[in-house]
Amino acid sequence: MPHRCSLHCILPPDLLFKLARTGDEEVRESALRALSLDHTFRQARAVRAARPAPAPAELGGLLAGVTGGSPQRFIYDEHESEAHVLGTLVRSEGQPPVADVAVNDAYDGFGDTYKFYWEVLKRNSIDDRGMPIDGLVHYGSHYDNAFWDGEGHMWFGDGDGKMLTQTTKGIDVIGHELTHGVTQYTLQLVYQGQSGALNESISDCMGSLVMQYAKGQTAEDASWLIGADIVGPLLRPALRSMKDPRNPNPHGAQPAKMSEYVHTAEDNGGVHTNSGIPNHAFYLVASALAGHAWEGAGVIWYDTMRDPKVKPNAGFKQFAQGTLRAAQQRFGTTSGEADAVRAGWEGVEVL
Amino acid sequence: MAGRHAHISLRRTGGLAGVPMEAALDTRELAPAKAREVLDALGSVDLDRVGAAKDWPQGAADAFRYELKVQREEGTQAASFSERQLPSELEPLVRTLMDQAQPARRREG
Repeated sequence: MPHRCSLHCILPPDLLFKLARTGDEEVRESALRALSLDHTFRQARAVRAARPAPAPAELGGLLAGVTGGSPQRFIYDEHESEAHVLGTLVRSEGQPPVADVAVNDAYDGFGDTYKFYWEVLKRNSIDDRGMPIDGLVHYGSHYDNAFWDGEGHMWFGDGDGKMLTQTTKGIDVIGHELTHGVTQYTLQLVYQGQSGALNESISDCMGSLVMQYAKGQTAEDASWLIGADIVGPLLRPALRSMKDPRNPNPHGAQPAKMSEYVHTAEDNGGVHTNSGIPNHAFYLVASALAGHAWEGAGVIWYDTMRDPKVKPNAGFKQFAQGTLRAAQQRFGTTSGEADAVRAGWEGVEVL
Repeated sequence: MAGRHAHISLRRTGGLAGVPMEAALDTRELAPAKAREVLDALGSVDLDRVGAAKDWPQGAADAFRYELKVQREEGTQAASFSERQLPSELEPLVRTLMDQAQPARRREG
């Protein structure tokens, strides 16, 4: 096991320089190592600042090792306004529950999502740098949606009671929306056509895993439904089914393989429609591997989300090849994981 | 575009659910005061420019998008815009239409 020193984590550069000059041999060595790491960190930060969206994959583990482990949650009450401004701050990190259940559900769902990303994937929040997570509850009047605004906020509607109910109730929905933020800071998938459908699918996959991890479910136990806790009578039993994309509800059928791909200009080229194909591939991989889906399919998909070879305009095939590469690198070229990934994508006619 | 009557249809796509929703109304079927309100709201907005307003940045996801069509004797106008681009003048009209909207078939091709 490599020697680790707490100097890596907490001391400012000035003090590290001083220790490197004046400390005993062990302290000096640790200080020099920490300075080297700090320099790398600062270089990375400079590189990130120069890019439209940061988080180079190769630094994920390094940064996660430096800080993290505690979310920074802020929940605002929008009081049914549709103005796109922050409402009243009603609960901050560490504060006790309030009387409003929606506020507490959003706070807890953010916590479940942060915990999943930190404990399973060693990612420190949306940007892997401890980014605060803002939740805006009670947005609009009977607003039947929840969305990620690309500016660091998740907006929650209370639902119209027909399509959707209170959207803060869905742990998987919260995981879905916050994963759009993670994608924004990793693959930056263009929200159009196949790359947009991948963007949606990755959010469904990770959202489902957030729920499975919170409940301690195996792939066999999981429902593989998305949004089952927030749908109203028109969309029961769920928004989507990763297991059976064709039959999630009476209005939201999705394709389950490439020969069923839907060509449409609507909804950014069918991002919520064709996501059924990679969703089903993920389900097939997770089911073939069995057990906790986050330990196999989950880490493979996350490795792919940080793969610089997968471009923002990636189609299904490029992403699938990325998952196969990730499975081979993490588990071995002839591993069962690699075989399951290949079979999963073949099962939906992408590979 | 002024006019005494209008047939207005609205289609909403996107959102977390991704289910298209549609609704329509004819101002001749509204109470006179309500019809006047709707026509005034439409008259106060340049529909050709609604979709040019500031939108969510790249990275945003699951927001709604609207297609509004206004048919009058003089002709038809259409506008496509995100929910962030929805002008405040049209919010009551959109809310009225969405209150009666129903799931619609996906447009393919």
